[in-house]
Amino acid sequence: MANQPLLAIDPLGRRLVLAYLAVAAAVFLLMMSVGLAMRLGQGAMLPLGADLFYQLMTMHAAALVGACAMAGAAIMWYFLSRYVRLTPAVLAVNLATFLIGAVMILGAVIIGKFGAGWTFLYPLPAKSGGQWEIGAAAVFMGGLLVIGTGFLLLHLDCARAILARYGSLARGLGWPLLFRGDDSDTPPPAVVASTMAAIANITAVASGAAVLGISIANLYFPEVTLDPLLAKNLIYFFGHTFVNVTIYMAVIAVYEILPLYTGRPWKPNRVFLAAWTASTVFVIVAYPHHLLMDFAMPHWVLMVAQVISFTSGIPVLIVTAFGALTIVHRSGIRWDVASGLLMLSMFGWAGGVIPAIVDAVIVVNKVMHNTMWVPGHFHFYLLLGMVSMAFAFMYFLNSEARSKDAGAPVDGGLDRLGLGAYLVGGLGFVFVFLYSGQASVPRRWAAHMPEWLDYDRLGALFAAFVVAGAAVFVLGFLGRLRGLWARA
Amino acid sequence: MRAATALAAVLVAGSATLWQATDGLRAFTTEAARRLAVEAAPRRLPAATLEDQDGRSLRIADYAGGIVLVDFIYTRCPTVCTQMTDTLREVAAALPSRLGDGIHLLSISFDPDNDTTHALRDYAALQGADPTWRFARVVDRGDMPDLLEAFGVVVLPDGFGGYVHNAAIHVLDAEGRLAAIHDFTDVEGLVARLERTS
Amino acid sequence: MTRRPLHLSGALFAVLALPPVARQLESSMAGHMAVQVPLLVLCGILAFGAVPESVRRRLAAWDRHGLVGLGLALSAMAYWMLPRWLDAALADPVVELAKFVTVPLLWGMPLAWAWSRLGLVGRGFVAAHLVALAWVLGWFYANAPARMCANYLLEEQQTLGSALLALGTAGALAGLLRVVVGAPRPAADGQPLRLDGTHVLGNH
Repeated sequence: MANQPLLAIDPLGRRLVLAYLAVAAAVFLLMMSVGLAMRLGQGAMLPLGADLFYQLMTMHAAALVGACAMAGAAIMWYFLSRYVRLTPAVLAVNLATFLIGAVMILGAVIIGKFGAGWTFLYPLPAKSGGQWEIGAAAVFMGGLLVIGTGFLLLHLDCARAILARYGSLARGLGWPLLFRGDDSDTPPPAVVASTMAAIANITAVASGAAVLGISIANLYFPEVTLDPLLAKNLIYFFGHTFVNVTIYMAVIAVYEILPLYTGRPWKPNRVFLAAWTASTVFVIVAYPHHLLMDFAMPHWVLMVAQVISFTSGIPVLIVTAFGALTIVHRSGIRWDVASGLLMLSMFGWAGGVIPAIVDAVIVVNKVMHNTMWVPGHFHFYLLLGMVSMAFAFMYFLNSEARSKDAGAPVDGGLDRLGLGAYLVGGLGFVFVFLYSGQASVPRRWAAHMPEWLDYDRLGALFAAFVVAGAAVFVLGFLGRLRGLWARA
Repeated sequence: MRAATALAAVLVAGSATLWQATDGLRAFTTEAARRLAVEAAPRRLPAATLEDQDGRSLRIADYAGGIVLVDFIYTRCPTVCTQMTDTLREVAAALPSRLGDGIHLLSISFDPDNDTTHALRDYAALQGADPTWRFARVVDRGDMPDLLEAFGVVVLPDGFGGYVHNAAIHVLDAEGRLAAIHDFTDVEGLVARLERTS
Repeated sequence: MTRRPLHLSGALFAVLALPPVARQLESSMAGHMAVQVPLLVLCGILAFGAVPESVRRRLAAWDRHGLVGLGLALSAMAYWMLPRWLDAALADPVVELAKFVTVPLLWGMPLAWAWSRLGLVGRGFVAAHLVALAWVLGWFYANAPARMCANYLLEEQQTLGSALLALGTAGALAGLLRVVVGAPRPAADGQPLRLDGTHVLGNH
């Protein structure tokens, strides 16, 4: 890696990063509470009713996908801007489009009573059975389109900056070292991960824009139909990739923050680069594991999907988890909430992959995919993995601002208590999901059979712990925001 | 500042042009445009001489004072023509007392080569048409293009010996002008219009 | 300033304007919308190559980022993608003449101008949306049960739909390939060229 001085982070960019995190943090806490309400509703402890349950489910998912994307983008932008010249104005535009899209989505759900799920699976948005108007579906999907457009701009700006500095995205992925052993200008991990995120999300958002445009047109011209299987392919290509990429952006926090704690740099080697290149391809072609139950899909696609899904996250996961362990091992690292959350995120990511692999086996998928097993998998991955990285980054920003010696512990007893609650609650919460799935409790059901209520209530209890832990993190961050803003 | 002004000017001009070009985002196709145009300004029709299934000669002007529902068909048509005929029959059934007296049905063939008066008579019988419903063809082939153009009907050979054409029910007002165009399945809309104009 | 682009553009325009060629291309919907109109756009793009630097500098004072040109090109594009105006071009010689004049002048030339000014972000944004637009329109034409143009058969409309879908996919793959492997090395020895935040690769 060529040694060159880090660029200073643009003051406007720094404030925008704080704004991204504030939005994401508020949404995290709010939507985790909505999740708690849904578990209470399933446990017959809160009379939600089916209509409201599905509206909440739609809102919970759409808002959290958005919040994960915002938090991931904040982490990526903050660290990537130390290596390449990003454009703060584009970051601002994406914030504006996100807020506009979020208002549209919330309006469609709260006022328009849209409840077809965030995946807007064709043709459900058009067939509400009287629960919502066509306009609500159009506004919801329009909101997703607006948000996707903003992220398209953000990733294009990252790609532009990487191209300007490295010449091609292949170089951004470190191919000269990977294929030719040329270590003269190897990009740092933040650049490699941002390159991958740009490639995957630009592709995903373009097809997402297409399928959203088609779905909106279909609302108004119902006689122009779409092959539902093609629609499902496009939707999951967009949806799976977009969600998946949030963690590949957020993991930059691990690459950048852990070395500051241990004083050992994270230097990309050939294995690391090979893993990221492999995952770049896999993340784009892994989506068909959402279609393993669709018998009309060509069999070879499903077989490829099964294999790819086994391997999709694994290369990056292994090099990251292994790299994190080697960096931390006997380093005399100071344990505080930020470093603790980062290690928890490694565990959450690694742990979340296991149920995913189980679910990606076609024979298992046929009986498990519509059970609580699947929310168990993705909450493992997102709640313990992705969101932990976001919270760690929020603590890191505070410690970085407070001390020249970045990484100095700045947390108090309450923060550590919060981490404990988040850890216990999060683990309990996802294991209740997984255990319910193993016991064949279906997912996406508003009302549960009496014999499932115990799981739901236990899940709600753990969810309450998660909300309590997250409240400590979020309220603490929002409380420190003014100071961070002033220092920016 | 100059750049912003230029950008705003282009966006305003572009939007205005597109607004104009789509009649205020209402008409993207020729078919929609012709319907809007006719509603806005009823259109005079050329004076072509027709002959009906019984060989009687007629002109559109003969219907002055009454309302005429006109469709364009060819009798070998396997698809939409039959549906248009069904629509007209249903409209007539909804207003039985006034058929032939103030309200008339007229089906014009755009395929005079095949549709002789004899073929038209067979078609009327096959469709069980009311005796006052006239099925007509042009006497002079040269009148056909003008007639179709005035109505805005485009007929294309489908490559299998038949035709593709824009199907619609045309409403002529008491002055013999083309005053409205309805979808070829829009029974309710046609009945409502006839009840309004009676 | 070389005159070759102008000659090429003129020759292409002359061929397209030949009545038999025009009739032939316009006899099918795909020929009209996916061949003739794009070639007229190309005429405009080629002709823009002959615009001298002094004029470009004066234009840049009004439109530094190419957004005005882009707005003009997209408006003209939207106009000529309306089925009723393609129909009208067949029926009315005045509209046909307007098509031959405005597609190169108000669509092709402003597009070339905008492209020369847009940075990589702007280009990528436009390209991604054009790909999505090709897919949406392609899907629409391939599946719509009703004819959009009065002058073309449903089968021709479906052919055009498939052509647009294929075009969109080809464009997406080409774009992806280009950014991943195709862009040239900015400097010979690995030194960054410019890090002043300007759109290095988006420039002329």
